[in-house]
Amino acid sequence: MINAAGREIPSVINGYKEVMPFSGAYNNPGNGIRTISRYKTVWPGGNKVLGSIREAVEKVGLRDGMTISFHHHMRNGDYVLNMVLNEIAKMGIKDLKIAASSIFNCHEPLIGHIRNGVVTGIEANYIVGFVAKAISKGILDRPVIMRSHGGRDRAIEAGELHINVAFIAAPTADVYGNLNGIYGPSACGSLGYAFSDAKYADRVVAITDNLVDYPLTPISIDQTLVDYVVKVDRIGDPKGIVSGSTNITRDPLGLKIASMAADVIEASGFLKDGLSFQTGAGGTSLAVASFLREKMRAKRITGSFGLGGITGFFVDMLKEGLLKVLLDTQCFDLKSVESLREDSNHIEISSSMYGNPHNKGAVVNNLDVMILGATEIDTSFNVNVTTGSDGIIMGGSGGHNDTAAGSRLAIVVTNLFKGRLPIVVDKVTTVTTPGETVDVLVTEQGIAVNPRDEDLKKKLIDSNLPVVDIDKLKDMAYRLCGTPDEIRYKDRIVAVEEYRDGTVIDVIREVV
Amino acid sequence: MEIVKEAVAGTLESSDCLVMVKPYEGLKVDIESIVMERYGRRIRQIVEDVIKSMDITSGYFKIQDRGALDYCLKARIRIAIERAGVDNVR
Repeated sequence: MINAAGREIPSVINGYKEVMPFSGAYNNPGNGIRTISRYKTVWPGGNKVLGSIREAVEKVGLRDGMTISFHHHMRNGDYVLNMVLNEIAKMGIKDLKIAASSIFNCHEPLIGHIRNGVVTGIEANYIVGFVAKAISKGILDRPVIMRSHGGRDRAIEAGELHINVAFIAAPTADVYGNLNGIYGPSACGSLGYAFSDAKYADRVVAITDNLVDYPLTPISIDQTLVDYVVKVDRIGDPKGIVSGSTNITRDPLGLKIASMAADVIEASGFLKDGLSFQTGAGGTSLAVASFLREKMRAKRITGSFGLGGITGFFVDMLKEGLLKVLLDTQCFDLKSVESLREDSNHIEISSSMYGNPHNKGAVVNNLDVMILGATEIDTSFNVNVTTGSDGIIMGGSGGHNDTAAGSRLAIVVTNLFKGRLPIVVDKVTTVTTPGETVDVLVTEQGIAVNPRDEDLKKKLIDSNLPVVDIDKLKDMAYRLCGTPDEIRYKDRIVAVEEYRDGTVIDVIREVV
Repeated sequence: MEIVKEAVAGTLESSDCLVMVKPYEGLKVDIESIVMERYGRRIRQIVEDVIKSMDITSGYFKIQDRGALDYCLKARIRIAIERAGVDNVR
């Protein structure tokens, strides 16, 4: 069947639940009961601190076929996923499903655990590097489920993703299981992606390298949710956890695009008191924030909040009074970790509060402007950030389709082509974010407005911005780069791209 | 044109290509590209066209492509050939 994003979706996908095809970004309100979680009593005098990961795995009763979860605030410096899986492999437990919010290059040992049958399934919001490539080459029998950040929380809360044991990398934990991310040698800041795991998993094990006396303050994830605490030497490599600094691009094309995007925000009428926005941590996205900051200063505008994925740049805007509040699911650099620790207007939020479409209103719904990147964008404004031009998985939605759907103005910023690869294309390799939720595309060769938004198009033309048809941009890219050959795939589906509401927006096939 | 010695042109910078040419019995072209999947066919066609247009009948060509556009590929291949060859007409 063809879904509402124009994609051919099989009616049955082996190893995946019943297929609900994507039917439009605002068509599936969800229905049901928020999942239950297990009781467990800890009597007075009980001890939660265990001597080893092995002991924790034994105590929680992990068995073949179960699902274990991880969060990705340690990013490419994470030790916890590998540490836990190594121990589990030694214990002879098999057939596990890994529900990790993201998987990075540092998780390469996962490939070995897949080969020896310890891991037989993966669900994640973003997968990059060796594991992503192995998945695209068909290493797993069951298709991987790719979700958005908000979609993962939705799936957990709806009971579609049932976690038996959550392993939480905790930069600081007290002896009774209160956790936070802002202190300790592996401080990562917000623990936003781990909140739903802690709330709904049957059993929760915190793994820390900074065990402190009771009670910890402040508390992010509290003792009523945590079964056991294990102290290890290190939970991550600080160099991989946070980048030292995140910088604005110096590429002249990137700067031109960013400056045009800031002009689009102004011309759209959003540049006024109460403005809220999010940008990614990429160089061009940060440059948009920088141009926007200049405009806010010049017009003496105070924004309401910045959302993210927080970088030092947003922290500066908070300190300068250009933003009143930062709402934070993950800190990208040390400056934002420090700010979360010290500034009461910098607030840690869960990724459910951030982007879950089926709770009682996520923060993305309050967002004015979202600056998005794209690996590809097609003439229907569908965006791919999941697969590369070779069809191999190299990312995933993260918050992409959550923020596009929620925000009032979703702007994609990208070069028309990179290397010789056109970014504006006929048909994206994979749909991550449906075109109906994308308002504007800004490239160095012009600005394209989604045709459903005549009003916005008129505003931009009235402001003398270089508005062009998206087909013209595509033609220009193809003229320079040549029309790309089709990617060759095998029939087998290696991953299902779930839209944030749990419907299937696309499938990813094994590459030749 | 005849390839009489080894020569290179271009760089390994993004959006450029490095072309190496050397004498060889027969004609052999090796292409390595970051966009092989989508443009490999087209790149091979360009290399063969340039070789043909310069009347080359033997030589070894190694193209290391970093996403160069057509005009860049053509220019780099031509320069490498001119550096490696002598014009057998003159």
